[in-house]
Amino acid sequence: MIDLINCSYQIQNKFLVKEINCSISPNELVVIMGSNGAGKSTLLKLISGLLKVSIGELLIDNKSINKYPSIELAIKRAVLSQHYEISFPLTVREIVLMGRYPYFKTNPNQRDFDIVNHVMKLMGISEFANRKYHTLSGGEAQKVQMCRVLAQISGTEKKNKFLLLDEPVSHLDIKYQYYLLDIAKSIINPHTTVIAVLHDINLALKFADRILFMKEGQIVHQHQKNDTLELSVIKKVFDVDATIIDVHNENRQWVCF
Amino acid sequence: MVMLVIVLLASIAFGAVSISIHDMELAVINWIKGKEPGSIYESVFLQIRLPRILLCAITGSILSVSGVLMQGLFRNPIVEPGLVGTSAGAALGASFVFVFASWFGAEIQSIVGPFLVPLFAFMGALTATFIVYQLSNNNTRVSLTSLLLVGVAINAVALSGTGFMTYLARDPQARSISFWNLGTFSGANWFQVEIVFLVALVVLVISFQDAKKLNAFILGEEEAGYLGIDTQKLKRKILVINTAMVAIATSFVGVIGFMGLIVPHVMRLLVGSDHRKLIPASIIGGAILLLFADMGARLLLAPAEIPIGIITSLVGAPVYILLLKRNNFIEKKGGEFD
Repeated sequence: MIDLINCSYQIQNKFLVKEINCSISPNELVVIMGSNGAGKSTLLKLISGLLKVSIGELLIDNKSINKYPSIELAIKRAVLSQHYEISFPLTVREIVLMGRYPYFKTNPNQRDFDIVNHVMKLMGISEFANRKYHTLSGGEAQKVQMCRVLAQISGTEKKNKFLLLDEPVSHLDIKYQYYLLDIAKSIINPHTTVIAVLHDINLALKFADRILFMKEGQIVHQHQKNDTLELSVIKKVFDVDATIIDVHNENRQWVCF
Repeated sequence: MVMLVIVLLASIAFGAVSISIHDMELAVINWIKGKEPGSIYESVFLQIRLPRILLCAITGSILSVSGVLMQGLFRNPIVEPGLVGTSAGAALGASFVFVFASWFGAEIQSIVGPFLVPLFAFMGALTATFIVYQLSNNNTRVSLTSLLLVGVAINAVALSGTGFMTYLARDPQARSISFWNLGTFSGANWFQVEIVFLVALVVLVISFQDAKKLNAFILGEEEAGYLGIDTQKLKRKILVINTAMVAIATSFVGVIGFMGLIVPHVMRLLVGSDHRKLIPASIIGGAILLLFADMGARLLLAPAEIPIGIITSLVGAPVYILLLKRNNFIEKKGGEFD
């Protein structure tokens, strides 16, 4: 459970995120959308704990995020970024194992290895476990990073976990976009929440349980899965004219620009 | 490990005075029994050769591990330990003593004389690094980019300071400065070995604990933070460790170039980039390489000695270029040097 109570974030006198009130409960895939500079990534960085809320309060499981030691936070949530530039050659397996770093001091135990093997199988990357990461294509590399964050929030104990995706598919082709979001959708359960920043409204409409539309640092509209999306919302958030088509056999809408 | 022992023994044996394994045995046996050394060979072994090669081996380890830590922290394979001003500061401190030693008066000199150069070198190293750290410290956050940029500036200042000292110096003093800047183990004694060994022991044990954290840094600073690592604390810790190691080693033996740059590269090719393997490998590899360099320094123009820094740079630079050409992962990804 994540509760944002009147949260603002400012740099000098500029509010990047302003007076956000919102609750995100487990069993949900929440997508944050908005045009560039709307504060999507800043909001995600506040939830991840990388940035500290300037005004207001951000609670994770009813406890202020500032009260979590960084290692406890690392066990609770994982973050997948858009792009990774690694500085030294490592094998795929070594990268995925990093997801288990919060769990062991110097040497991983059998359970850590089991989890690593399990997530690699799940994502279908077992066969290149021993390849060097920097030789992979963009899509393969992002699969490896997805494995790493999945390993980070894996565990049998019934604790709430959060997966935060910061524009995870922006430079992947359609096949990988669907693949990654399918996986994200599949891990949602009563203890797991996924929050993603996406750019593609149709991708969001297909996968999201809820869409938060942001503009100028504020949430201006919330769209639930089976709501009807109004053209006025698109106009307000993205400042473009669009057409909305109903996809009947899939019971969802399609936005054409 | 076996290789290290062989190189250690070879380093002891060869030199201006050759020492046989038999002499070494005798010396050790006599030493254990508390007897005086029986022959000149035994004395050379105990008082000159042994401390020298031990100091050399430990210094090699220290400089190499410093290189590993700094490259890991800066996420950049062309960083070397001296980047944050430590060795340039030490050089300035040492050259100051060479030029102005006579000011201290004969009495002070006779008491602290042998320690004067190490002391000032050490202080110079700490001061330069501290200035770099302070200038790149911005509201309790230390940015790696500004560390790098300020480091370049302070290095330049220290270098020009050393240049000015050389300009002021009379000829023999100027020679001392240039020799010191090329490093030598010829003055090694047991006192130095003990100090460097103690510092190395403490600091290397600490750096083992950070191996995992440095691995996470390979992904990026933010990502390491997401994995539960206090990145600000890690940065401070590594800078302190690095400064302690480089300052101590440099203040006794002078500036030895290229070790901290090249050993991490070689070891990365041998054991991979996982710091949990890379740090132990660099401890051993660094010791071996510097022992070889020191043997070269002693033997090439024997009985005269070449400053070791000449050997490490002369051999190190081409090897480094060769490695860059072969290890083309950087070129594949591109951008890293842009």
